[in-house]
Amino acid sequence: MLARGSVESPGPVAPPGALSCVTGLKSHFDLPPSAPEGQRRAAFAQWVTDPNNMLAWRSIVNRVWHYHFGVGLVDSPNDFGHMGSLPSNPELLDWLAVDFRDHGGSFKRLHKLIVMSAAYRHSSAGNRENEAKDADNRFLWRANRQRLDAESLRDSLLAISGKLDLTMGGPSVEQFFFKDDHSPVYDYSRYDPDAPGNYRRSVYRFLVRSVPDPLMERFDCPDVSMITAKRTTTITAIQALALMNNPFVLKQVEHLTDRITDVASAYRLILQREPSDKELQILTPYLAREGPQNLCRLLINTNEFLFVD
Amino acid sequence: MPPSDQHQRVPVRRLSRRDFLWTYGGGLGGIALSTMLAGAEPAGLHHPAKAKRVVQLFMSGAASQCDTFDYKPQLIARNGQKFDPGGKVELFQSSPGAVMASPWEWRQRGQCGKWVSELVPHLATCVDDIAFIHSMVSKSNVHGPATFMQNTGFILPGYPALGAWMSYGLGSLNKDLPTFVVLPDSRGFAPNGAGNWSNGFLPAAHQGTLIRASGANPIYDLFPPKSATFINAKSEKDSLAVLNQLNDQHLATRKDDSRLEARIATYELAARLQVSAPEVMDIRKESEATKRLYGIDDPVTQDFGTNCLVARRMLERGVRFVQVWSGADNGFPRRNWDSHEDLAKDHANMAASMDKPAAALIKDLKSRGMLDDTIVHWTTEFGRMPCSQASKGRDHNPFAFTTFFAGGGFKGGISYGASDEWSYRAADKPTYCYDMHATMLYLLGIDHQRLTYRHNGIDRRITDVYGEVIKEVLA
Repeated sequence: MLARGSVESPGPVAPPGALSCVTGLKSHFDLPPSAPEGQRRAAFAQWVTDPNNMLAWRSIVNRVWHYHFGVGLVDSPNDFGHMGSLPSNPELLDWLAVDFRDHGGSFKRLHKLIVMSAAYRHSSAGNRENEAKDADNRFLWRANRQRLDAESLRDSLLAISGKLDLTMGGPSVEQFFFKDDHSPVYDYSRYDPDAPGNYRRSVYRFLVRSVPDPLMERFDCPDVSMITAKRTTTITAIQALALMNNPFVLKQVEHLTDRITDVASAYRLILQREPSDKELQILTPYLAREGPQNLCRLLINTNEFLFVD
Repeated sequence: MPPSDQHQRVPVRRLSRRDFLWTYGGGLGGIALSTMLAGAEPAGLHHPAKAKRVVQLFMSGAASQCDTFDYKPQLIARNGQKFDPGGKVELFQSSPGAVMASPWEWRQRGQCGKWVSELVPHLATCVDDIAFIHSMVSKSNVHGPATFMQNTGFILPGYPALGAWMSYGLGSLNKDLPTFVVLPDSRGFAPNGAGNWSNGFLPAAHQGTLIRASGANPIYDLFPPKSATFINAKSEKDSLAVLNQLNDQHLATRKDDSRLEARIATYELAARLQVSAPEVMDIRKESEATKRLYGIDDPVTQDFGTNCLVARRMLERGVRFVQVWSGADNGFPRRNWDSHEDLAKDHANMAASMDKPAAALIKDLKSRGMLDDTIVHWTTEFGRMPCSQASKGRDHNPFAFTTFFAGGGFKGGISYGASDEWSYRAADKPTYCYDMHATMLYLLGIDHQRLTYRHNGIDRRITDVYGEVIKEVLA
């Protein structure tokens, strides 16, 4: 221990251990103060993943739930303590936690359970009666309409342009121009939007902590130097400009154009449905006036493309 | 919470908690959007404001206090002698050299009789409008962390800059331009790059918008690239009309979701930005006298002068916070204030480009009656050592540096706090960025302790757990 964090006031040696407030587990690891670092880490990892450490199991299933629904059963995913929120459905949280634990911590099983549930398959349509009782939808009487997050948006654009590279794993891809200098240069605008590395899924992007990708940042991709349990989701004029004019986006529009033949095929590819008669009436003459590239650019700018019902 | 009552200003029909939180988190699409749509001033400040907006001139690389505004006869008297302020002197990248007097002469200026060096002769003519703080201290002597500290209150990345906090707390004053604008040095960015104007954990809309005053595409993605030949003015008009039609149909069955409507409005805002951003940067209609005042006619002052003039035009049009950078990164040849090797040469270059436009900005704002409610803030990340580095340069000094304020409710012609006789350590009233930020927010009508945002279980403030409003410098 260093009193008040000062290297000049050393206190007693703190032996390896964990939180004593987590019940049912030993908070002291029975390791001598001289135990090597590897042993200390292993002891901590065992504490975290102990079958009786319900904090860890609840916390991870809640996080997965949060990613699927946009809000967790506990809506403060990084905080299950006094400053955090209470669960909306405590029994469900516990059931999921135990099921996850007892099936070897299988994420695949957990995802499948969640996305196949009735709760997940609700439509996002509103309903006055339920609205009056639970406007926040904490009890999931409808789906939460979600704006695509930065990664999903980018991957969706690549998917419909036919360019998405689904290669798994490997080192991350540097999607920027780099020059080593006294202050190193990371320039996203000087990177070829059609460079093969740009087609990889967003999860494989090389994240530069000091210089985030402006396109991703614009769509609320958080600062990677901060732990962010929940993203904020904004809607801004700068986002509108990006979806209309960003060179990467427009490059995908070009590729997309090669894959469509008419309004109906554009709808099937971009919005995953057939156009209505009214939409055909509006867009057929528009296509004739402005051409297929403008049609594709228009459809990726619709609210329907950016929001998942 | 931001200081205003959002319920009063957000035009949504159904205010569920979700929508309420979402909408006020939305910035340009949320609070600011609603303010923009309403064209209204935010109500419900913590106390009456003296200032409405801020222009910050940031001297990247660390501008010397003891060669500009922090006069120490001791350095002249002891020039060339051993530097012995008592205790061990720890420097950033050198061992302490001899005491080094400033290469520039000092004179008393203005009615207040402020001692100012010949390095900054134009700012010297503004001292009666300026409140100097000579006892600034930084927690880091490394450029990156210290620059973060002056901007965000933290030496680590990931925290919102003052402009972002102002955008979050006060919203916008205008319908067509961003709330927080950054004008970089044309030679490049300061250490940390865009991190210096980050929204941190605040919603993305509060991020500083980078504007390159001399670029064809001054805002990122403002216009399509030239290669996109299928887009022209006519097709753009057609497309926006059809887009609105489709979005309206989509909205018809989803009336309960205010976000969809907000997004439709962002396309109108984007179109307005395409008109207003080039307009605000077009300085051709400014008078010749004004252009001369800012030094637009001189290659030495043209870059910083143009940025300062554009800053004034933005402030006039209701931008809340404009940050203008003097200096880029720490590379060679020197292109910022980081004069380790040759202070007389490198500080002279930087000051020559900065001094006249900075003074012009203060005078111009004053003559237009805008200085009363505009804070001009001149600052840097830390100071420089009173001893020499390898005989001609100065190393980093986090223990004492100078920042100054003009206008916006600050008192003119005064100096607050003091460094020791060497200009080595803050001796009287040591002041941190926390106090600086708290004081600026105070004049903007905000209690810094109540401008908070909950992130990872902590109600974050720009002032962390510190900050005192410096009453002595208030008019």
